[in-house]
Amino acid sequence: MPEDRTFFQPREGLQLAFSPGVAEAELNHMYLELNAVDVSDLTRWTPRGLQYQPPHGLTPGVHDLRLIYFDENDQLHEIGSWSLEVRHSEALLSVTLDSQSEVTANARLNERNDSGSRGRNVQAYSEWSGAMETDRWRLQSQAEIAYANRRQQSITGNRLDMPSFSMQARSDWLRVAVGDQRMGQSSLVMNGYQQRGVASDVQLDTLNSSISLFSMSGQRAAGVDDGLGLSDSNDRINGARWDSSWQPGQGHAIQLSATRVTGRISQADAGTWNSGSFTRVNDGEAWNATVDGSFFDRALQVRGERAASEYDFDGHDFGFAPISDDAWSGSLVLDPLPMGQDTPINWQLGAEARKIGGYFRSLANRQLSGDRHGIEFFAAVQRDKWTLDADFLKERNNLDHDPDYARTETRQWSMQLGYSDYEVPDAGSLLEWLGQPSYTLTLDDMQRRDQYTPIGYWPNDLESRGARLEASFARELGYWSAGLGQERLTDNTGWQPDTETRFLQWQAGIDIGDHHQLNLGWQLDQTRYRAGNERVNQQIYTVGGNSQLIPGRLSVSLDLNFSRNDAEEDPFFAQYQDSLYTSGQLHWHIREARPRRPGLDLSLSFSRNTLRDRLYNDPTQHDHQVWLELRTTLPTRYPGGGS
Amino acid sequence: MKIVSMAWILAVATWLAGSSAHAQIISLCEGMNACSSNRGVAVGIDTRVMLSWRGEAIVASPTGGRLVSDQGLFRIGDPRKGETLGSVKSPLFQSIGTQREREKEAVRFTVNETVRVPSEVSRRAADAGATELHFVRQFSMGGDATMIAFQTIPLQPSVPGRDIAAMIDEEPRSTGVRLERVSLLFDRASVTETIDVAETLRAEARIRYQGAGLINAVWEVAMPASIQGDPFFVPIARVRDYLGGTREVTLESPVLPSREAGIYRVRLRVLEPSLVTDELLLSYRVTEESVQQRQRVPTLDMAPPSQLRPIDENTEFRWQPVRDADVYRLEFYDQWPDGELPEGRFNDTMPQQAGFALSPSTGLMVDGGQSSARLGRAVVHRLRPGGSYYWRLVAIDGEGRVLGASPLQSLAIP
Repeated sequence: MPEDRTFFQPREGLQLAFSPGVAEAELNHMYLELNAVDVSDLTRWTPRGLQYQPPHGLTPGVHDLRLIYFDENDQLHEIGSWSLEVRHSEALLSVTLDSQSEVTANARLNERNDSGSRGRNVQAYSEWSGAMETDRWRLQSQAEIAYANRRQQSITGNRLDMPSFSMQARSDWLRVAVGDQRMGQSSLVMNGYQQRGVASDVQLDTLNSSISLFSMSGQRAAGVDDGLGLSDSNDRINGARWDSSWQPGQGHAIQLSATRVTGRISQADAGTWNSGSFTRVNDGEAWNATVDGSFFDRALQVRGERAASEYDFDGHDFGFAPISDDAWSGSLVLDPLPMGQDTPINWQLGAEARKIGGYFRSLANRQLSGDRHGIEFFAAVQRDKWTLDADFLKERNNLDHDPDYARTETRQWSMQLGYSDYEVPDAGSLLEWLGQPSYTLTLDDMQRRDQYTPIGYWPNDLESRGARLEASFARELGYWSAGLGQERLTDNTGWQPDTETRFLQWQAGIDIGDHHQLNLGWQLDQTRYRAGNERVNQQIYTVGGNSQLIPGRLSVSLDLNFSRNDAEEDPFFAQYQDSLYTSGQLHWHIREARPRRPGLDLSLSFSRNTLRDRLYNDPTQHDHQVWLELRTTLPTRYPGGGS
Repeated sequence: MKIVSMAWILAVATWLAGSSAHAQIISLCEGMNACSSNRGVAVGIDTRVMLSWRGEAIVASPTGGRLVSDQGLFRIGDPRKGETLGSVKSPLFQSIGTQREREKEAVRFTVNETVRVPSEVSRRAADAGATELHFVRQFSMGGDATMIAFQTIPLQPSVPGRDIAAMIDEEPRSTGVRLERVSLLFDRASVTETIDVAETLRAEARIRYQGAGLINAVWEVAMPASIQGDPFFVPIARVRDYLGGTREVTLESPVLPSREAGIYRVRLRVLEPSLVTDELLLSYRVTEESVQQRQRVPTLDMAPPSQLRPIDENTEFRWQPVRDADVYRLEFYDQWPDGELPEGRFNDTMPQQAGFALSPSTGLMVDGGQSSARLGRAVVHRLRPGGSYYWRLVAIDGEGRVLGASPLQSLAIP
């Protein structure tokens, strides 16, 4: 191996020259190891030397090469060992680019109750992922670009869009990221959802801390026209976060952090419905400070968070002034034998108390409900095949004792007992026929009672209780599962009806040989009004199957879904409807896609929907569609695989 | 609640000469006769407010006078011309004094009433940006002379999401739950997703609500077969749960269909409490092989090793040949290479991971034309006696792409 080489490229071959005198017979006792993996079988051996061509690109970094020899007594002798640095070039440690592009053309062959939609659709989709690394920086990016000739066919509602993109540059002390990302950890002021925006983190040696600055769109989905999602000042949230951590001793760690967010929101999120939403601009700001402690090798974990907010609930420059409020939470978890330790029994105990003011609202966590003060205890025990989880919660509302509102206390508990067998059932036993079992029993109880009720209102005095048992069985050629449960609601005031819900379900997935699969399912939900014994039955039957007629080439699938909503006796909203959905697809995999070689698929799909209103005996409604789809797919990959 | 009242006469009484009336209001809600109410109103809450109307009248008749107001109006903005948001039809009557010794001496009066401010009125006032509400009444004393007065009731922002109980006179409903906010997202906290065929994905509905009772909803999915035209939404699971605990709940969909490539739509249709919206809809795309998911590869079939006890250089591993395989790599790890050990048995039905962050402790690479391999001395030499290992086989094509991998299996070296 030349000594003047400073690095090797990922796909470069390795050569070693032997000193003269190596006998042909000795080669049979020599082995070449690359990173402790024996690659001798792929090595070209000659008395003058060896040549090894890695079948796939080596990953950037240092690789160990070792040449060994076993003598007649099976004793190992190391002939030589080398460390190789693999990198793309002098300047770059690595460069990778991965993409998948797809163009789909659809032609409608037939449609009943034609909605007037176009009979030909075209969609294109391209997904890119790339990375470039130097000795000091790593750049990483990812993007999805989607086009549909009809807006209704797109996944975002725009003809041309970037459903997601992100770009990140990182060094030892700095990170800058733009695009879709999670801006912060989940807390009272941040929901931890993915948002589009810009973020930057700086690592500081002082107090082992970091500072993050971020600016994000107020919406969870931003289209290509929105760019980074920051152009609209009425829909932008800015924030900063400071983190510091230190270890006060062996096995102990403490982390302090503080976050502040401020900005404006003007619309509801994508995929969100909000009661009483107006096109108003809401101003807000919020901050929090948290302390996270982990002690005695994570056997004890303590967390405390304090937060405050100011939020203009009725809109910017509108009506009332912004209102301030605060919130806090504290939790303690005792886990004497954390995961990873081989012990016969694992258990965990914890408690969390939290108080969220009625007017507490953070722009970056609008889902959080306020006006609550409660405490929760939870426990988990695991022993071999058994698990037990239990929790108890007590919570009250109307924290400022406003006489216009009720003061209600809620108590609820739940318990889940699980058994999961991982041993192969004994031959000849019932379980050999049924399959490897897992069982889950869940019990829950909730009570909600007023401590004070304003005059003129019904008091809250309600409880619900439920039990559910589920069993699933895994077999070599499939699985099946069954479940049943019952839950009962009692409103002691009589204002809302006392009801009882029951459910029963069964499903199975069966492999028939290597190339055929069958799925079956049935779900029954029943609601009974206990006073008049009226029943509402809702059922879903499903049958689905797919078959590889010519493995890897031609496949066919069929799905049936029958749904019945028998609510004829429902005293509040009588209904009685049946629907039957049928769909089938014949898929011809004409050519497999490979890097730099597009693949081709052709499929014929049929779907039919039948709706029948049995209550009013309306004419049965039939709709069907038949489509032919041609899809071409082109993956690209640079520099190829790695190991 | 301290009284807030204003005394400002909007319309001055008109005294018609020659009127036959013997009584006249000369002052209403002003000066010493300030009118008052006992409290403000929280927006969106039915609230009863006690109002006191005070004034002075001259009663010339020996039998006294009769103060009358037919109705009251809720107004915002200008009390005289502002937008009327509602009315109170209940009239006010009050008999006022008898003739005094000295004619035209004013008689003071106070009329008390309790007014119900409907939640709808305060909500509409707040929606219009008002921070106070005027309750306006027109008074007369028998003749044509009338006087208009109003009282201002301050509005207070209601506590968002604070539970509002049902009123006694409210009709029973099928459920006492009222939804405030429903957010639909995938279990990866995103609103669009691209996944591989047969990959597991669920949708979640994060719900904020008030009250307690039954929620009745259905998860529906439109499959690629109908998505090019008018989508047919098919129910995949029904939700019938009792809510009432912590005012927040997350409903999780079953595993969403992903067998065929194409675009899918998923929605949660809430039937009770009735919710009319088409916004609760997400889309996801299933592809044969996404860039992000190339780390998952098909599972390879392995035959059991020829012998495991004792394991030696002749122990043979055999497998089903994989089309296009250029090389096979047999990997041994001295610890579980993929984070925490899965509960129960190893999952051998799901797609396998193409690679791990952890490098194998040892292993063997053989040509793609082979369907078996003996361990050989170099590998056996690295397996520590008494050690525990996990092993698997990986198939790799000429481009370096991992075509498949067998599930990880444990192996103890005696």
